[in-house]
Amino acid sequence: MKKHLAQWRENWNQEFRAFKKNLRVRWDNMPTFGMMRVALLALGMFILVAMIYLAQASNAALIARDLRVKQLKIQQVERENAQLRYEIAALASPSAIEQRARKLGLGPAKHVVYADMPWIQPPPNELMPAFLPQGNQVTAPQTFENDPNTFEQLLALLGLENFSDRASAQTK
Amino acid sequence: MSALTPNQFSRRTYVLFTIMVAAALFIAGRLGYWQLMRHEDLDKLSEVLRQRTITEYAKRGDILTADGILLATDIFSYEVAAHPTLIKNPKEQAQLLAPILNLPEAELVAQLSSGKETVMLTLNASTRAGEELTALRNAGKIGAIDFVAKPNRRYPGGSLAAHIIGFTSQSRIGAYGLEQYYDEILRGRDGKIRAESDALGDEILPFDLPQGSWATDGSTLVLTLNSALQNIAERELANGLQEFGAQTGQIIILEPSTGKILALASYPAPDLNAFATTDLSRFNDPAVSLPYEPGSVFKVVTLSAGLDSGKLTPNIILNDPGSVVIGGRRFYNSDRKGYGDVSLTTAMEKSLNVIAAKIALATGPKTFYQYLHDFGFGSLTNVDLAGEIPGTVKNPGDGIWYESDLGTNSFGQGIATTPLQMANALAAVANGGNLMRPYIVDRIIHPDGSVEPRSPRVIRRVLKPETSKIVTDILAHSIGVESTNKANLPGYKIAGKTGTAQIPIPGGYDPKWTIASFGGFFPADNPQYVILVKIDRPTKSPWGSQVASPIFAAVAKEISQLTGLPPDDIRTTAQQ
Repeated sequence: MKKHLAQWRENWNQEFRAFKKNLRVRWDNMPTFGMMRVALLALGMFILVAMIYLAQASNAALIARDLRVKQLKIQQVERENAQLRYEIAALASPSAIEQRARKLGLGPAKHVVYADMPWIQPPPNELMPAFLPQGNQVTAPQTFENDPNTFEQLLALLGLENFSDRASAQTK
Repeated sequence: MSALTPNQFSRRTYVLFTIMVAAALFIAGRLGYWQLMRHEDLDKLSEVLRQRTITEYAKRGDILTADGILLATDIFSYEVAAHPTLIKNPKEQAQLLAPILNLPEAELVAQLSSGKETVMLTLNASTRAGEELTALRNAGKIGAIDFVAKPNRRYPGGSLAAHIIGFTSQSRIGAYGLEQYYDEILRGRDGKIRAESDALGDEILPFDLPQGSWATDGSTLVLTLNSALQNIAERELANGLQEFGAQTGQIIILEPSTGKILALASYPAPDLNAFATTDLSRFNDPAVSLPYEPGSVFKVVTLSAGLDSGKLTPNIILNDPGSVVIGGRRFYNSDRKGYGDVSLTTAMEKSLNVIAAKIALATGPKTFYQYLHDFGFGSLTNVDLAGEIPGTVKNPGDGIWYESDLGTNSFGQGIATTPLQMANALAAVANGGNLMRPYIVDRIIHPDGSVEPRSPRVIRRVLKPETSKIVTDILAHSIGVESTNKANLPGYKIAGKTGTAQIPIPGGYDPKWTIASFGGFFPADNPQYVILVKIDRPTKSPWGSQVASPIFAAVAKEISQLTGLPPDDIRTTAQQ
């Protein structure tokens, strides 16, 4: 057995020496250093392009992922928004407001008194219905602020001419 | 065993090398086959396994009133299902899920431990529940729970303008009203995207944007309807029905100059959020899809036809002997009395059938029916609401018309109209004789932000402007003459006409019930609002003057207060 093994090892060594010798011969026959340099340069370029590609691809993938996360977030916020809009609309519906107003003791006016006050020009938007666009335009509305006598005149209209005097007397 | 000679060694090495090369070539060949030849098949198979198609639901368009009150919108609710066979700790999961889904914990434990492949936990979890479930899943606290967001049509106003809106079924198809008429526009288009999914089919965040077509939301409808006027109309209708012991009725408010429908109330109105449990017949809008015989309100049309055709002069005095025979049939006034020589104003004030029949007779059948058609009776108004019917008008020469029909039709019997047709005819009188197409959608806002406005459209000129003014004056005087007239609104001149119509039944007319109505407009000198009140089968009184007139006055009063429309004298003084 040992003999066989020694023989095999010897054979292997011979084979290996022959192989090394052969390889050296081949190596010597390889292309010159100039060609080697070109090959190495090509390999370097390939690696560089591959690295750039990978960097770009991974960057694009990350951006896409980020976009999708944002898309889903927008979707979620829109859903929350829709829910809130619905809840607000339910609370703001005329019947809900009327119900609430009635609970607070309010209701439609039973009597409306229109006082004739020719010295006050009503603002144009009060001359016609609030939501009709074809209302007549009235210029230069006069307001309580720019006519100091208006309050006195209003009191006179209501039969309370001396109200101001009485009020000031009571204060004194 | 003899030792291997170098030749033997070399041969065996080569054999081994050849086998290995062959094996390598075989593997490379197979790889080439799978990677190059079968590449597409494998790619598809892989996609099927790791990707799924997700439906991106389009949001159905909102419906808003002119004053911005939301009447219909989509909210998202979640369908939540569990896979009990994959759940290891049902008790813990039930504890987490119970408060979110608002379900009893014991019930959830039973469902999660049922051992079934899939159980549906709820079809209608709120948006907030969905958010909480997402957070729990992302935190890894729940597993084998599937939840899918689906849009759900909701109506914040409940029954407000229910007949106008209609509803959207579970399968997202519009039914009745605007939901049906504008279904294509409101619906939008669902999207289909391909996305990476996990083993349970849930979307996972991919390293690429999902591919496919994205959803396009539906367009928003902005109506001509005013929520406050609609609320007034509905409230006053409900109050009126209760007061006069009636079950059904309608109120229509139109803007005569444009044909805009400002309010359209029908009672009883269904709750749109509970459409699944409501009798579908209740969603039919009687204002456009239920014909009725209008009765004496129709005398406005007869009077207009007589005056506009020149067969009558405004100051004409006609004799009312108490009855008149047309086509062999005798017609009487409702009180069976004769009033002698009367003006047109008195004829309208007393609502004399005999005078109406005489006017129709004087106008002549051909001209009279031409005016009826011009006013839009017997044809669709083409309002943008689903289910409109044209009504029925018999015509001379059509085989079912008899000469006596001229008399019957003159006071609004033997003719079938819809309340909207009647209101629109009155609006033509109020609008200087121009018949407008009634419409309810003021503008459509598309998802890209573009706005498609709807403009008023004149269908045709029915009356000369001077005829319209004369008719208005006659109607206003007929109301104003009687200070106790219940349609009167102090401070405002009202033009209008009452109606008490018999209800047709097989073989004649119902001896017991009537339809009480009032159609009018105000302010008479510059009509802003046309209001038609129709009350079906009132039990307290059969008369339009007793039942519909006070409801008209109540609605008109609230409109004037709400809109700040000053009384006539203040308004005319201010305008001078």
